[in-house]
Amino acid sequence: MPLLETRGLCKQFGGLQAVKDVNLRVEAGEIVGIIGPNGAGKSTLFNTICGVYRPSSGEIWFAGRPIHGLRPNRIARLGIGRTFQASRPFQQLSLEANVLSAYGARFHGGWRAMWGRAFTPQHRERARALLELVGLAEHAQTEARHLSLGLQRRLEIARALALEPRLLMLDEPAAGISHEEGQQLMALIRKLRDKGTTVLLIEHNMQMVMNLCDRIEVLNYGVQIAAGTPGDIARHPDVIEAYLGKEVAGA
Amino acid sequence: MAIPAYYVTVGIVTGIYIILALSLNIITGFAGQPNLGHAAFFGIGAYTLAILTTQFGMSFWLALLAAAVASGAVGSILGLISLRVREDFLAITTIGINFVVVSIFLYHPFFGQAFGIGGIPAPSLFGVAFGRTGFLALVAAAVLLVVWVSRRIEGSWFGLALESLREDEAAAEAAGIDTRRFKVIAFTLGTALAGLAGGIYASFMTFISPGDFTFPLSITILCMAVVGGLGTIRGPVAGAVILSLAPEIFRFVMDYRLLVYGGLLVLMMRVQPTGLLGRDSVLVRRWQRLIAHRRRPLSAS
Amino acid sequence: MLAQQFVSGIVIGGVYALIAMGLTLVYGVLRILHVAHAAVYATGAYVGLITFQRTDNLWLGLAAAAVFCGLFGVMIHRFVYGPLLDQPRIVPLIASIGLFIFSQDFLRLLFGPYAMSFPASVPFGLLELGDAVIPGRQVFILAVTAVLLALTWYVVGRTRLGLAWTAVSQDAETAVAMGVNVPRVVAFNFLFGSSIAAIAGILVGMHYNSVYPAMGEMPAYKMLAVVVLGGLGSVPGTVVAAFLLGLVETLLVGFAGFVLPRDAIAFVALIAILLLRPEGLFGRSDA
Repeated sequence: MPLLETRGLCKQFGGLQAVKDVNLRVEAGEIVGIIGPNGAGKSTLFNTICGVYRPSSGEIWFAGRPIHGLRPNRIARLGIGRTFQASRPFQQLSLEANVLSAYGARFHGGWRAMWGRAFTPQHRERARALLELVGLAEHAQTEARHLSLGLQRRLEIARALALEPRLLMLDEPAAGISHEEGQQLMALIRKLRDKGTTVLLIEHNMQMVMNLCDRIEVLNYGVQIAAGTPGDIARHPDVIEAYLGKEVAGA
Repeated sequence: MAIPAYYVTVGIVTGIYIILALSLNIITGFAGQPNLGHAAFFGIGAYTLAILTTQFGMSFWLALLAAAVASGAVGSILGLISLRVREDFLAITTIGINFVVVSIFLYHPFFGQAFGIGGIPAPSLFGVAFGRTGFLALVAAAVLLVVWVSRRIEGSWFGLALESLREDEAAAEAAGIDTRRFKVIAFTLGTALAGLAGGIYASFMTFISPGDFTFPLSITILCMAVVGGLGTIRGPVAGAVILSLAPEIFRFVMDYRLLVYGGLLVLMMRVQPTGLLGRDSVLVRRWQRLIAHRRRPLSAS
Repeated sequence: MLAQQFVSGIVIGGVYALIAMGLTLVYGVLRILHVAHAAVYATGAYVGLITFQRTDNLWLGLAAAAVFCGLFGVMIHRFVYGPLLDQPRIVPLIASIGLFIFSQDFLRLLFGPYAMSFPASVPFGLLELGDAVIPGRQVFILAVTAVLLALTWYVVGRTRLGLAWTAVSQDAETAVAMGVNVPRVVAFNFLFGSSIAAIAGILVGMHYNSVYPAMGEMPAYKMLAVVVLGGLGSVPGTVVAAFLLGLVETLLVGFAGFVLPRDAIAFVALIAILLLRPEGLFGRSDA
């Protein structure tokens, strides 16, 4: 049984079919990349899986249960952590508070539990460990808005990891960061996978996708046009056409 | 009692303003939801207590509880509205609620129309009716309650959830936070506490009319929280104390009160939008530096 | 009688449209709820009245108010809103409310708290239209309103500045990338919207024959309701919403003996409509 599976997933906005009949399968322990030209529907697919948009039709199954139609916070607590394309940490909160906010979601269920103290030594230790993992531990008390873009992206990952997710979904994690930061990011993603987290990512940086992913799904105009290992994808004629245009592919 | 009646009255009024500013702070400061109609909930509390005590002979204490519940119930409806109507639209909706609530008080005979409701009894404890000093004690207890609630929120999982949703709702959802639930709780709690203040106010004044709960009062409450520093506890308390005492101390500005008020608001927003004692305020940073200087020699030795 | 009420509703609605226009223009580009716009409107009424009293020339009064308030509007942007654009949304809103309270009290201190009459005679006589007999003043107000709305339609829809405004209000980043001079658009916005509000102030002063410091109080917030109903930042939506509100208010108050006070109608409608359509009556729905 795959960890995440979409069956005939469609998402329409008015007359625009942003995602069309997508059947995605992500097995536990994989790193799967989703690529495609701008406007191919990658982010829409992401947001539909995460519950931001309600699917127009089709089903989404995660860890053996349907999650389509659930609100984003439910999906997050079921074990899908995500980041955003334009990085969105809680700007005016400290890094520690950023991480603890997601960590605290598990305590929100009960009226008594939600009044529990968040910043106990034990919880802060947990936040510190997560920040350590992404290399931000020394900034724990800094407000997120003071971080550079690259560090903000890492903070978002730490926040997502605080949910202890089985699946981590990263929306263009390498956009706008330096080559060196990109290398560190790849190392981090591999480390997370080795610890048992499954990763699904959208990325434009081809070098990163090819190096990192076990499997790649290619989207164009909301439709899956190819899937396979990085090697298969690099040679796939439809993919070359989608990226470079008809003329080049035909030549 | 040795304290002159005038000071007791000023103390009571200031206390009520502190409760209002802190209760608004739960909604606007912690959860970041605009509420420009807080006076309406103050009014709902006041009218609930007034009607229950004068027309139904209910005891003050029970009616006070009912005032908080009634206000919180209407507040939870506003909370539900806030799930659908956002930001600027919500700000205007809350203004609208203030106008509508006041006009219901004004036009419906049940609420005494423009004459309002008089003869509201004072509370009594063990058979003794409250005098001014008794009211001061009651207000002080209520202020302590609201400060305590605010402190419980600050640094709890609940408070952290409110702050996250204030910062970024979509990101908060992605972090597993049920933003809808917490918004409604914040509105319910904040408005219930305003209703509590309204109940005390009605009983203290013995007479209330629609004019006591109009939109300018909402602005005054918001000013207090903003001038002091939204999102903190010390801020709204300081703002309420400063803005309710200033006109008493500087009697000569009484005639220019609104001019000063308005000018102060503009100036605050230009110079220190996070408030006098808010995060990042110059005063707070100075103070922290001062403390740091004092502490350093101690820790060195 | 019905026709009379109807005309009265059109007059009120037209004036609402003129005031709300400035708010819509500002909201369109700055996303600020410009509450202080109502102070500009009240100031316009006073400048118009004072000029009229000194010169006995209504046209001069209109011109003086338009120029004075146009500059007032530009100053508000320059010294209050401009520096606050990076702050959270509530900051300029509170500054705007503060400025409104300040200006209103300033008018009170300057001119006293009592209403002054506006005894202008107009170059129109009674107009009989079927059942309705329209007094000359209302004819004048209708005529000026019509001219100004036409002017607004022309400026927003046909001039370079108006097109730039539309571009900025729809997508500020793209507009900047395409070389739109945003500060100029914004300054023009305040100049134009404030001048029109000033004239609306004079028209209302003439309509009720009274000018008083708190005359901006109700428009300040009621016009926000109109702008929201019109879809926040949509010029045609605002005009339609303004006329609708003017008509509904006058007809309901005049005929049904409606249970709600006139000024609450706007907000009841506002809340009801926002619940059904959270993006306003004529707003674009994004999702």
